[in-house]
Amino acid sequence: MKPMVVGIGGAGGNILEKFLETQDVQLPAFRLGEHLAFGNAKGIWLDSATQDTQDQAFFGNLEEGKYPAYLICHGMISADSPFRKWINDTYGFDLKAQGYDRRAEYLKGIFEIFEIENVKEMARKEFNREDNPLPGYMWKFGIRPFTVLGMKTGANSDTKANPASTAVPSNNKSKYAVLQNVSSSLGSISPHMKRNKEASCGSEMKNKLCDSILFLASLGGGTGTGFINPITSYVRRGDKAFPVFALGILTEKGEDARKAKEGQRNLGAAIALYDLLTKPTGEGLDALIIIDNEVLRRRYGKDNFNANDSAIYASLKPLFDLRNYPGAKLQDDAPAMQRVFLDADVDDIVKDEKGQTIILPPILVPCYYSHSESNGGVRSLVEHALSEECRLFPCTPSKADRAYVFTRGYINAESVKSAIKDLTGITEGHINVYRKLGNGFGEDILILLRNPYGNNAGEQNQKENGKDLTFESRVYDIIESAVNYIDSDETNIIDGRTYTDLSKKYLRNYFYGSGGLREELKKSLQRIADGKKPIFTKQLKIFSDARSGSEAIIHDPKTQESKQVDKREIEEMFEKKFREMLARPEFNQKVKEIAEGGN
Amino acid sequence: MSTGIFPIIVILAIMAAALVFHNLYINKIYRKVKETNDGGFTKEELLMHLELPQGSNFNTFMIASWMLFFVALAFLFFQTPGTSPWYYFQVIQIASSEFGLIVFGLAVMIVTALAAFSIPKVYRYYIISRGIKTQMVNFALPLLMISIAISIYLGTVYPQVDENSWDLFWTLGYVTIVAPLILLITPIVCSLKEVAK
Repeated sequence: MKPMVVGIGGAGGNILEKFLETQDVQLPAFRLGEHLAFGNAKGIWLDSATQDTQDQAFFGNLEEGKYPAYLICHGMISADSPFRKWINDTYGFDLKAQGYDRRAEYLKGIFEIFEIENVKEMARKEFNREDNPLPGYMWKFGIRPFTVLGMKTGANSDTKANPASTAVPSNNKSKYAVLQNVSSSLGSISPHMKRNKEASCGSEMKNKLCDSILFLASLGGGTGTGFINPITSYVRRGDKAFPVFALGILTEKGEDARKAKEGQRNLGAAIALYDLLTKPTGEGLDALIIIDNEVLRRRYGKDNFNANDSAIYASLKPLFDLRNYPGAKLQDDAPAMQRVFLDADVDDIVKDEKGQTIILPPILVPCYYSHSESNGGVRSLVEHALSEECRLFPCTPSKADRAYVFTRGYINAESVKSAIKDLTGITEGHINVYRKLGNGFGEDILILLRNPYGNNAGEQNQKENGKDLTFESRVYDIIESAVNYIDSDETNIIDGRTYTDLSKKYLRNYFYGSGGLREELKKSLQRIADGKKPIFTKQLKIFSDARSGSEAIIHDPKTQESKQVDKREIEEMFEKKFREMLARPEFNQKVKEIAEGGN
Repeated sequence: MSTGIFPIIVILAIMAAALVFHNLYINKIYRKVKETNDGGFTKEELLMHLELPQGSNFNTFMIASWMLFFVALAFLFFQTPGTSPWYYFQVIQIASSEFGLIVFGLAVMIVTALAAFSIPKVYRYYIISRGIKTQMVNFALPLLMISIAISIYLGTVYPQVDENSWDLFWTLGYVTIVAPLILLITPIVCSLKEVAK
């Protein structure tokens, strides 16, 4: 598995830095040669705050041809863009906002605006037929060139597929030629490759490119949480089968380093979790790996972010390691991993509002342990990894329905399976072991526990000295805190912001309307308390008229107003229209013909 | 001023030992993987799975280091009489030429090019920490350059030099070849140590 690692927001960028740390020697004066990260991983940092990118030296600007690089998500929207002004005037959202101040709903809103038909139309006019310029820009310039999908596009390159011809205002195209050169030099869509699509160099290039995407973001931050879904949706437009995973890091309890209110952060986390986990297979993520910063805070101390980031990176190394076991039945290529992650159980399958069966992405809790080879055997390795100290999110391993194991060292797969079966009760058929050759210092193991929650009621109360002992306990607290924040801070969430009246109506409906977020979160609390899986079941969108309820918003951005129409009024209007139709003689004639068996 | 054949035997022995260590390392891994695996695989497959990119800078430095290693070796042992029956001054046209040393150096590089380019390929089977890579790069090349400089000095002043200072410089030149050689085979030794645990 060779994922393209996409660090989003401040935390995502910091963790990504660990992943992209060079494994090569560096010259003291300047950077030379191809950048080599562990597992030959590639990555990019996406952020919205230009200031944050200027306060560091590791990442350079992708637009200037640097690598490792960052990309400002709204970089393709010019400051005087008419579209930006129109969105601001109509909805009160600034497409070039410098950071999102821990407001997940703001970012969610910015991306979901583009699902409104006439917004799409406006965007197409300014951005060369691109109806969703923000994720379009990030995907086409920041991510796709580093993946095998980039190679596919590169090989078929023409003006239609050329990213520089879409998503970019025509006056900015020279700048984006540089971006293409960067991706070419990193082994993606070089002109040479285009000419030799099927030639041998193609497979060599392919080996350098990434076969999947791994997003890194904090859940409950500002930028990180909001980007994953829109980009994933954008990827899914073109390729429903491309493996996309996310690693979400839940912010710690209490006051954080940026002094943001816990309720506000938890609302952000709840929205992020909700949105990531309710997009069905083929539309959203393939799996969400989740880590609790609270666990890391207890292990390394408060605000020791460097140690936290290093621990996260170290725990995922077995996944990134390139040296697969020769002759092993299971090899961890990304498409195979995707299929395995989505190998759903009956209770994973839910029905959407139309009654169609959908499969929602699973939650994976990582458990990591390493030891020198002289210490204990496989059993000890597994036992330590599953112990409370080594779980990176509170959970009960025995509740997991499956386990995906990545080991480094000379380890027998059957011994691992047998140890996990003994310790968790997971059947051997539900344990997949992916082995890598030695890491040079001993052995380590990463166990991803799939959905380690549910089945028993009342698990949300399992705590000890304020420490969460179960998955349910931690998630329940977050959702409960989010609901309390929604209840107590309406002014802060909606009224005190720069939104227009139209957006406020949409947001109020999203948060407080019938079938809205507040209601759904309350339902999810009940599901947790009842021991049900999954926690969230229904997709929610801010700019959606489809939600059932007593009120619907008629969208009329030209007048920049909204009209709230009573459901009964709509029914009356429909009845009136229907009566008018019945009164017409030609309609009556047609009905008679049908009744007599005619056409 | 004769150094005898022993010093070159030591260098060849170190290189031979590195080759043996490399084979031991591969065999050790092969056995360990075989013991923990149900599926059949060949040693060639194992080698393929062991491969790891080391970085373009590191690879470049290693090729340069091995090239200079052979040049340093030739300069020290074949530039002056005393060690080998063949030496630089026997080819009068080159020895008396203004660019004689450069021609000699380039000739050595051409003759040993295959080895200098092939040996660093072995590193792809090893996990080499960035710390060790940095030490290999920081010390191997400068030490080899010092050795070459010393050899050039000895070749230039020969035979107008007293025996003590000759021995001192020669020993220094020799040490500055052996030290980088040990540095260059460190990954093999360290990895064998790890895998033998």
